[in-house]
Amino acid sequence: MRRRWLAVVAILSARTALTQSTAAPVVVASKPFGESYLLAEMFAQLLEARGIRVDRRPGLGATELAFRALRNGAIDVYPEYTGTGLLVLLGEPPKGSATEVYARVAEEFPRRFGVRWLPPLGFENTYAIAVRKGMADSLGLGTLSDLARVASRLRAGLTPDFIGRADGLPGLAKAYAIRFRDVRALFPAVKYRALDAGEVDVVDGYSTDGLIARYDFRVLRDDRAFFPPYEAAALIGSRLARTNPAAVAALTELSGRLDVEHMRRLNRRVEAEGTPIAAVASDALDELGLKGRTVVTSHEARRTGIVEYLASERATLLSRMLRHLLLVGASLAFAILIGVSLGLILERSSRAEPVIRSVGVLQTLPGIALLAFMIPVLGIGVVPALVALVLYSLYPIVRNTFTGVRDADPSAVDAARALGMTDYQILRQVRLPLAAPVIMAGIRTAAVIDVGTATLAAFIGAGGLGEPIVSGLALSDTRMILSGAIPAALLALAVDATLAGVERFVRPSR
Amino acid sequence: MTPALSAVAVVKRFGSTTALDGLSLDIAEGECVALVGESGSGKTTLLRSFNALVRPDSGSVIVAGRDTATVDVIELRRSIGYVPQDGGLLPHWRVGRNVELVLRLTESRDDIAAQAGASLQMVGLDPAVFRTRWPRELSGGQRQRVAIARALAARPRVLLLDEPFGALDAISRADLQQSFAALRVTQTAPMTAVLVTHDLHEAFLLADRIAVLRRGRVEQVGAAEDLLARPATEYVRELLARARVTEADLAPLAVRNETR
Repeated sequence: MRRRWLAVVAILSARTALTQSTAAPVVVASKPFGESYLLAEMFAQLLEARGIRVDRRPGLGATELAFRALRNGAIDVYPEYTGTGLLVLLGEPPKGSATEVYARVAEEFPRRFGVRWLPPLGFENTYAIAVRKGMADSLGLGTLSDLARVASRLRAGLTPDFIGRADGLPGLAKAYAIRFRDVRALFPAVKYRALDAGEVDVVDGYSTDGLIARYDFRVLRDDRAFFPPYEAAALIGSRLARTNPAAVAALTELSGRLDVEHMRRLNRRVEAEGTPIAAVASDALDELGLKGRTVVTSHEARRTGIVEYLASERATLLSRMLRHLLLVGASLAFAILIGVSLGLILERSSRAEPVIRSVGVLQTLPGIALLAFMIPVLGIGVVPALVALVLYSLYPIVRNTFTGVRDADPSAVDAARALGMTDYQILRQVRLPLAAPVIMAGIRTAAVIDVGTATLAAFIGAGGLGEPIVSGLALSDTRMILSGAIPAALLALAVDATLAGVERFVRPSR
Repeated sequence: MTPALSAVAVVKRFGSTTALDGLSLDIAEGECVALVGESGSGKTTLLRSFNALVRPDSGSVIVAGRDTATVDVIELRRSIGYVPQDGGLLPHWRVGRNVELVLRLTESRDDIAAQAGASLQMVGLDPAVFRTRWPRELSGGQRQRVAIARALAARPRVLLLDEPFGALDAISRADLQQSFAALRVTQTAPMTAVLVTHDLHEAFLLADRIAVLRRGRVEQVGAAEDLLARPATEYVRELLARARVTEADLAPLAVRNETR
């Protein structure tokens, strides 16, 4: 064990030494779904093969998060789709051929956002609406127009993204006059299983999806050409475009090299067979004659059990747990400092309730939304993650400090004052000790919430146990999800138990 | 001689209710005065204005010749003993630490532990047994004894008691009243005491004079005999009648006067 540690330290210091020799690394990011992970890894390995240093930030939140991060320079490049650029980022209606759409975004993005599209990679990945083959046959479904006829009898399970986007359900419903009996928001990880099990009848997917092939599904033809062309391309930030022509040239080598069949095959290896992304990316670059990074991998499929999987991942697991613990520990420390002080200040104020309530409102903000707001100010990585975690764990600490100190045995406090204790002495020697169990209960609540919330940090590239959860959800890989979720749960228990020990220590004997 | 405590035309309002309505009262050094009256008559407000827990809206409260409006209230409170109804012991401190409270605040003595022990002894608790007990381990009567020991530990010249025996069962109460009466007699330096009570029997038993409060004013103040013989108002007469206090209740007083 000790030797392993030494090895880790040696590798880390070697890496540090290497990285200090050249300019800032190119930050390569992806959105949290299989194809995006794979393309980003191909970008990264291609850059490394050309001697350019790379910093990987896979699985950033969603379109909005990744794009904000690119605009403010927190990342340098990520794979994006022209259709998404046109509809979601420019807010323009879907129209024209693939070439026209690319021309439009390529012209508009540098002007409006200061970011650039490299030439398309060579394949389109549009939305695909899928149904079970058996049902398609019995209802005679081949096209989306066919679907519109019977939709009122069907239940749809769609990704939240698809439900909200103009080029998703709202547009589709209008173009084809489709009204489903029921629409449920389902995550990618579960939607295919739900369709297969007959829990829903229709799902959305991607045309290059590696998973659709794994099940007995039929993709319905978009006979009114509603979905715009979604050509994949590298989207690069202004700094990279300006200062690193070598990196831009390297990334451009991939342009026009990936066709849809090839991409579907690669996705299948990742999503259906469970081959590690790095290995698939490396193989793909080899096939294309773009020498990839030499990766030592056994290209075996993922049919091992969860236990073997965890065992094989234990080094990464340990570092993720440490990172997670660091996030939780640091954010909790700040939250205690701020929360207890705020609780004490508010206890003396007449306007405490509204302030505490607004701290409570922070708690109800969806994590992703809070993180998205923070990117323009704090970028991505550990700092915004810490800020978000502090904001999330503040409420129980403030509330309990306030209540605990306010309600501390009033007759004891009155006697202490009557016998000549100063306000400060009363606070230090009477109210705080009497409130300690209540404050500790608040801290424990915050800590357990914190451990769970810290998994969201993965969405903005802060690492931790959320990383395998986010990628596992994206890749529909249960073992990967569990390799983050189980340690996170254990960590929550351990943190709570530790704090229970601290609580016994601070509890006044009464 | 200047009174030990005196209230001069004190007015105190809490919102729209007037707790003290121009009340005046002098209490001589070494005297024990009981404040009696119905709930809301202003007894507790008056008591708490002597150690500046209550600040008058107008009028003045004088302690040992100095106006409480101008003295250092922390100093003032440390020099006055205080016993609330439920004892007000700090639940996270052992008995010993509770009794040492004022001694440690003032740090005026270096034999704090011995002093606290003597104080426990004074209220009839063996320090060897009780010093390390937690308040929650005590009976109600023991808790009040500790509260009195705590109030007396720094040898204050003034002792304020807010219904100190009100929450006790009849036997413990009688016990404690006896102890308190004895305590006052055995004090070496004269100690002025103000006792808020609902219980006229208790007032007759323990106090040199009784002040009957009504609606924030003193209805009558005088020795028990005077009140019985010459009630100043119908209200006082009725109060005594309702409480069924008679000359018979004065017997212990006579004993005490003798020993003095």
